[in-house]
Amino acid sequence: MRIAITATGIALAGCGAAALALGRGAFGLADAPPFHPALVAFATESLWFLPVLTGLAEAAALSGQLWLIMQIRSAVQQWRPDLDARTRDRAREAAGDLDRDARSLPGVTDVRIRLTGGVHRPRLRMTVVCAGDAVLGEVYGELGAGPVERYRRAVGMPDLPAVIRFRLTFPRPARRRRSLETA
Amino acid sequence: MTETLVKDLIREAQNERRARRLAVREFRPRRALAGLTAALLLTALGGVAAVELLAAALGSGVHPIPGADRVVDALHRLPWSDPVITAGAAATAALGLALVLAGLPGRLRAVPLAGADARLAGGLGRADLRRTVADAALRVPGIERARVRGPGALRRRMVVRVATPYHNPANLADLVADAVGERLDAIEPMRRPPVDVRVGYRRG
Repeated sequence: MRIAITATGIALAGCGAAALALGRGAFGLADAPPFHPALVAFATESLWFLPVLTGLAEAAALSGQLWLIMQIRSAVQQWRPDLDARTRDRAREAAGDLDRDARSLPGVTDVRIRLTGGVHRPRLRMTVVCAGDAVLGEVYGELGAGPVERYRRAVGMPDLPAVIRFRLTFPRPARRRRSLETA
Repeated sequence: MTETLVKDLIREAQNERRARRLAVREFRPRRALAGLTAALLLTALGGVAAVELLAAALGSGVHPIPGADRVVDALHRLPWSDPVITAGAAATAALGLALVLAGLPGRLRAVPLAGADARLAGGLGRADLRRTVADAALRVPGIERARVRGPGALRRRMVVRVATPYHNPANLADLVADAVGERLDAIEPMRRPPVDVRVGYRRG
C-alpha cells in the first residue's frame, strides 16, 4: 500500500516539478504551449505514438481500479470476514467463550472481539479495556496462553494471528464541592 | 541437554522477532485516506486520458469527456509560463509531495507489548501509556500534578514532570522514578523507554 502511494506521489511530484521547471524557462520552452506544434506533428506522423500512450493510460486506469477494489475489499473484510458460513458460526460461538474468559482476568472491564480478513489473511482483533492500574503484562500473557489459544482451536485455525489492543480506564477525579456557607 | 537449551533460546529469540514484526505491521498507520485518494486519482486520470487518446488515435474529432475540449484547447494555446499552467503544475507537485510524505512509514499507533508468541501482537495506545504513567506518579505521596511526554521522533526518553507543594523535594524524584518503573514493569512494553523525572517545587 505504502509503496504504491509513494510511487503515485513520486510520479505526480515529478510531473508537477517538470512542468514548473519548463514554465521557468528550462530547455527554453517557457513560451511554448504544452501541446507544442512539433509534438502534435510527431504524434500525427508516428502511427504507434497515440496507441502506445492509450495503452499506458489504460494500464494506469486498470491498476487504479484494481487497487481501489483491493482497498474496498479489505475495508469490508474488517466488518465481515471473507470465510465460509460454518467457520463464521464457529467463530461466533468461540467469541462468547473468549469474551467470558477474558473478562474473568484481573483488571479487565470490557472486551470486544472481531474476526476479520479472508481465508488467506484472517485476523482475530480484540480490544480489551482494563483498569488504569491493571498488570497488563500478565493479562496479555494469560490471554495469549489460554483464551486466545482455545479460540484458535475452536475455530480450527491453529496459526490465526491475534491482535490485541488494550485501552485503560481511569476513575474520574472527584469534583471538589464548595462548602456552602450558612448565615 | 545444552544443545536443547540453545535450541530453545534460538527458537524463543526467533519468536520474539516474529512477534515484533507482526506488531509493527499491525500497528503501523494504514494511510487509508491517502491510498483511496491515490487510487481514485490514478483511475480517474488514467481513464480520462485513455478515452481521449483513443478518440484521437481513431482520428475522431469528438471529445467524449465533457469539458475536455476546453482543456485540450488551453494546452494548445497557453504557454508553459502561463499562470494557469503554473498553478496546475504547482498543485500537482504539492499533491505528489503530500502522497510521498503519506507513504513514509510513520509512528506506530500503539506501543507494542513484549511477547514470545509469533502469532500474537498486543499494544497499548500512546495516550493511555502516558495517562497510566502519570497515574503512577500521582500515587507517590506529596505529588500534586504530573505530566508525561512520551518518546517522539527526536526525543528517545519519556519525560515525567511532577509538581509538589513541598519546599524541599528531597528524594521525590527517585520515588517517582521507582513508581513509574514499577508501572512500566507491569505493562511490559517491547521497548522500554528510559525515563527522566523532573520535579517542580516551591522555592524560597
